[in-house]
Amino acid sequence: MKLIHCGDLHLDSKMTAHLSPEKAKERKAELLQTYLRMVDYALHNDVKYILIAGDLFDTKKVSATASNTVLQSIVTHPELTFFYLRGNHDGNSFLTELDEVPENLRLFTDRWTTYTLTEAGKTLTVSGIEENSELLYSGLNLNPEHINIVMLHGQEGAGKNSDLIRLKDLRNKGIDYLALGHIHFYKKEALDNRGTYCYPGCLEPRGFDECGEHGFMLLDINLKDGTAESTFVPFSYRNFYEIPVDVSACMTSAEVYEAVRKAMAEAGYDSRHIIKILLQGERDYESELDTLFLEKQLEDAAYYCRIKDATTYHVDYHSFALDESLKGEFVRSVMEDENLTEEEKAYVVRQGIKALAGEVLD
Amino acid sequence: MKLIQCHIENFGKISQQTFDFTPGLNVFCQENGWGKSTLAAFIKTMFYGFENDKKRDLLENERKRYKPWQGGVYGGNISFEANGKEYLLIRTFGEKESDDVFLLQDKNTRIASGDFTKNIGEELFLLDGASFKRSIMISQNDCVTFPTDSINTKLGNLTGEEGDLNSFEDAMEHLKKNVNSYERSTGLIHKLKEEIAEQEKKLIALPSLEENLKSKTEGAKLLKEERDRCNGKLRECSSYLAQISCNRVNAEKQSRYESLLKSEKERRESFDRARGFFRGELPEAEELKDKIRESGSLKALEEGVRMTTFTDEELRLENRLGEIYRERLSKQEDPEGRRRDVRTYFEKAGSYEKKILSVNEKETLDACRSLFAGKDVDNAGLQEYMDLWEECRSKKMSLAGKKEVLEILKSEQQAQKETKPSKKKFPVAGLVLLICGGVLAVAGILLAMLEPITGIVTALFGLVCITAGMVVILVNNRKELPQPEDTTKVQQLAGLEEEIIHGESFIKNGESRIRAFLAELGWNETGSDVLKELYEIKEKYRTYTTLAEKEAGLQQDHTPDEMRYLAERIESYILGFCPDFNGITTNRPNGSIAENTRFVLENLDKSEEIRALWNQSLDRIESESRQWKTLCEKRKSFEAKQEEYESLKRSLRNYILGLELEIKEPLQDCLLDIENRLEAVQNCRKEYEGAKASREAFEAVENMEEIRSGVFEEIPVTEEACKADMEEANVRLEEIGSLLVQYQSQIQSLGEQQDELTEAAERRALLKERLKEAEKRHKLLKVTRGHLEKAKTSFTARYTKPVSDGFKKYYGMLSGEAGDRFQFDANTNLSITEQGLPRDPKAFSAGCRDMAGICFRMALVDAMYTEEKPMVLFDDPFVNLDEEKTKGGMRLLQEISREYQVIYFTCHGSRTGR
Repeated sequence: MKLIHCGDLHLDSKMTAHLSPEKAKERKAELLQTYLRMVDYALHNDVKYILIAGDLFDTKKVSATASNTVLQSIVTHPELTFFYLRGNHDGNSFLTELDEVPENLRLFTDRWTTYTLTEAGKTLTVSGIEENSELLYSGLNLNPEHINIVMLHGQEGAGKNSDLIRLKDLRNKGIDYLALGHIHFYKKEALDNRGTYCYPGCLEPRGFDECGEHGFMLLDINLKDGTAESTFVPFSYRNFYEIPVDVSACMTSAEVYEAVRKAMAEAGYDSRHIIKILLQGERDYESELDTLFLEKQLEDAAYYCRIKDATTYHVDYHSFALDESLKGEFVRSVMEDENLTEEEKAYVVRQGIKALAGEVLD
Repeated sequence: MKLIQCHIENFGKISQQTFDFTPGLNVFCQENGWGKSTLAAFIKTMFYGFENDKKRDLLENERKRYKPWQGGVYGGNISFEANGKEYLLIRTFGEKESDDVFLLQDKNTRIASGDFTKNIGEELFLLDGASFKRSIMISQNDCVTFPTDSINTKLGNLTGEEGDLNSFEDAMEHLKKNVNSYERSTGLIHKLKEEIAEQEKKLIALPSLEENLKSKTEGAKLLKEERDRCNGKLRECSSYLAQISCNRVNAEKQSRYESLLKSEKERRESFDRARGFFRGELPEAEELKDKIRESGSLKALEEGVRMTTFTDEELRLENRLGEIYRERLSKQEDPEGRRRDVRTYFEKAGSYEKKILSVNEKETLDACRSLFAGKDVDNAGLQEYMDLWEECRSKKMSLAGKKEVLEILKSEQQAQKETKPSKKKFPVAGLVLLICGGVLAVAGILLAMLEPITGIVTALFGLVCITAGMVVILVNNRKELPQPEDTTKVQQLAGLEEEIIHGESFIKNGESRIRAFLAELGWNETGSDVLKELYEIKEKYRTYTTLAEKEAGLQQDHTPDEMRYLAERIESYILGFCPDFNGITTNRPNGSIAENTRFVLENLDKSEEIRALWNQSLDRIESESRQWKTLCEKRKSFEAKQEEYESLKRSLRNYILGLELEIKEPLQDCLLDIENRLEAVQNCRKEYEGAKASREAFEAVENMEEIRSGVFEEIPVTEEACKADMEEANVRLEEIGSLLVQYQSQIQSLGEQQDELTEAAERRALLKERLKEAEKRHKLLKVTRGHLEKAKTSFTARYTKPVSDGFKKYYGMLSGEAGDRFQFDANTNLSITEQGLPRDPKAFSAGCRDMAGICFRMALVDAMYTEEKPMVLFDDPFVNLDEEKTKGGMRLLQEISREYQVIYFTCHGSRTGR
């Protein structure tokens, strides 16, 4: 028996961070499209159940397109059963707009709800609760003879904060697979001797704080011995990647560009993805770097390429020790300023020199 | 750098003048208006071009100002030495700068040199034009100077970094702009602060919204808890009610069980009763159905038997016909053959009848026979006679005509002989002939339709007459001339006569022969038309021969025999079935041909009767045959049906007996009854089994001990109390439900607002971050400006001293004073201490200003040109100095000229130093 465990789709997310309005719109549509591709994957890979562990939508107010698309995907595929546990971002708007809940859509409430599935003489349960209260721990009663899947949405933690999910209190309750949502990165670890817990991460990343591969978990349950094997399936259409590039030796934007190109080639990321180039290192204070120009040059290298200049300037103050010019005088003056940090000094020196050279300041 | 010579083509008022220069002091002492300033300007212009090209004012626009009034080439050349090389600079000027010509040559080789461009001034002196005029070129009443950027840059050349200093002002301006872009009211910092304030304005509502949301969430939680309690109460009440209901149900079950038992018993009894009808085994339903189906056909069979049972009449007919037809029909041919015989007989009779001679024909034959028998007559002979007669008649006509012609000819001849030619007479005879001939021809044609031969002959006769008539007319129309006796005519007459004689002879002979024939034949001539009579004879002969042939033919015809045979066959057949038949062959045995012929002839008249007799007989036979066949078939059918009926009946009766049941008639009803009984048994069995199954099912699922025992659990509350509690709980649940919906809606709405505010908070954080960065950059830019300013001050201070020293040196030369009250600041601006405070030189007298200016300029030149010295142009700078100072000025010139080439212009000898 196969199931898909996914979460944190954040459909309808604005996606405006970093991207132009057009690209943001495109990404928003891609989010929805990835969801539909996942449903299609399920259809073509013998998957019967899809577990959505929260934050299906990004905001409580869901657009008609997102709402209708999700509803349509459920209604037109009665052969699939959808288990939808709402997360902290989900509201009621999607559900309240339904005239009637489709038969193949299973919902949860603030009380433990358990659905029982029987196949080949084996019983599988899917339980879930939308409120992280004490009831979460006290109200869960599972039959250890069954294959038990539990769905929750929240941050794992050990404190007394009610928003946290205390994994230690969920041990030895007969859970074979704890399908979690909330964290946007893939994480899978053992829960106890019997089961595992897993955050599949978000299906489609939305920012540079979600770099790397994203997708869903494919559960393959052996009905004979009751074991559940889970595999991460990378599925996102575009990924965010950060490529650090040391440009200490580069003096010009052209040299930086070459270094970036080389680093990108070595990384081997498809131009479909979204890349952040993190320029690092200590550049010579006289070096020239136009990040906007670089971003323009790298337009075709990725869906969106952002250049972050995290370089610092290096000023060889000693070389100015005997410099009789105005520049030398200036550099020495800055050097002697005790009120500035080294980084600030380098910045001031650079700006002053750029000003004297008639260049555009940083 | 030194000037060697300059030649002015035309520049201002100077035209075609050449001036040589020597190292050291070159004094040009000329009167006013000579062109000293013009020459100085020429030198400056040759190196720097014109200033203010776009100005309209004549004084300001040098190109216009120095344009030669006398016309000619506007320009000249200047030779100079720089860096150890001698050059010849040639420049001409046009209406605009693009018309100017610049040419630099190596003075010795006269080859064009690329060592300097048209910006030769900047390249040689490393000063722009303004700075040149502020330093190297000292003009009268313009001694005051100040260091320009170019001068400062040049001064900065002390360290070789001219670019930085040159762009210092721009850099400061640039930094200032950048700083302003942050700090002005429309700057980035202000904008960011405004945006942050905007977001914060939105976020003011956040705490209360969160509080509200929290309160609503709490409220919803409390409502849910109350809902749970109500649900608990409902469950408890439901449980009680369930138990009450359970008790009630148990009681009902008990009753139900008893009812099931009773029902089962009743069903059993019904079944036994129904089963009792069948003493033996129960019949198979399918077999019974088959029997019933079969019994259904009994009636039809019975009916069939009834329908095929013979009536008395039919029996009688059967007997009667049986005697005849039983044996004979199978042996005899069917009537159709005899019918064919009948048809054949009468066909033959018809054809034979046509062959026999009728009474008239017989009479005619006899008459013709009497006429022609034994006579030598045949068709050919008769035709010959007819032709002969025709010929004779024709000749007659022809002769008639010829005779007339003869008469005419004779009369003519006679007339000719006797008298003078007489007047031609109108040929009346010819005309008559024509008319008669025409009539005859028409009549003959008409007659030919009735009597062809006669008609033709008549027509021919008519034609002949016409011909004759025409001849007559022609002859008559010929001119009659007295001629001697015409031999031709005589011959003609003779011929005619001969012809007439021959013709008449022929006619006579012919007619005789014909008449003789007729007489031989014994024909009675009617006399009207022999030809007609001959024709009549011919017809009669033809008839005779025809009838005779017919008669002869009959004698050879065997049709009567055949007819006889057919008649006998027909009647023999009929007799076979109708013994009382009396036909035409009865008592008329078959005989010879003649007999048969007679037989046939006798019966020819009675053909219709005979046909009718035979056909009737054959019809009768056919009818009776059909009747017989029908009767036979009916008999067969009857017997078959009878057999089938009896057989079926036996079978059914045996079946019923086999079931050990009483046989009742009709059998079908009996079988149906059996079926009903069987169905009843099956139904009863089904019902019984159903009742039994119900009872067993009931026992299987229910707690029979309990039911049988009749003891139930006690409930602490009454049903009414439970219901009341439930009602109350439900009402409250409904209220809670409605409240929860409101709360959920509010929570949803607040959640959405919170989302928006969260976004606003995020935006604010981002803006703050950006603000922090902007403020940092702003601060650092200001710091940058400060340090740059500081650097410039300390940098320029480095060469202020040489300028100051130089100034003091030259001031000492000029004024004899130390010059300590003159100071230079870091920007190399001069101030004069007076009354303890530094003052702007502008506040002093012109002489003082000029002195300071001259010394300052020379100090600057000294400081700027530490290696190769340029020439220095003095355009009467001492004009404002007093005598003492003027002497000082002369000393200054002398001193300067030791190092510099000085080009000194003055208009007064007192200021030449000589």
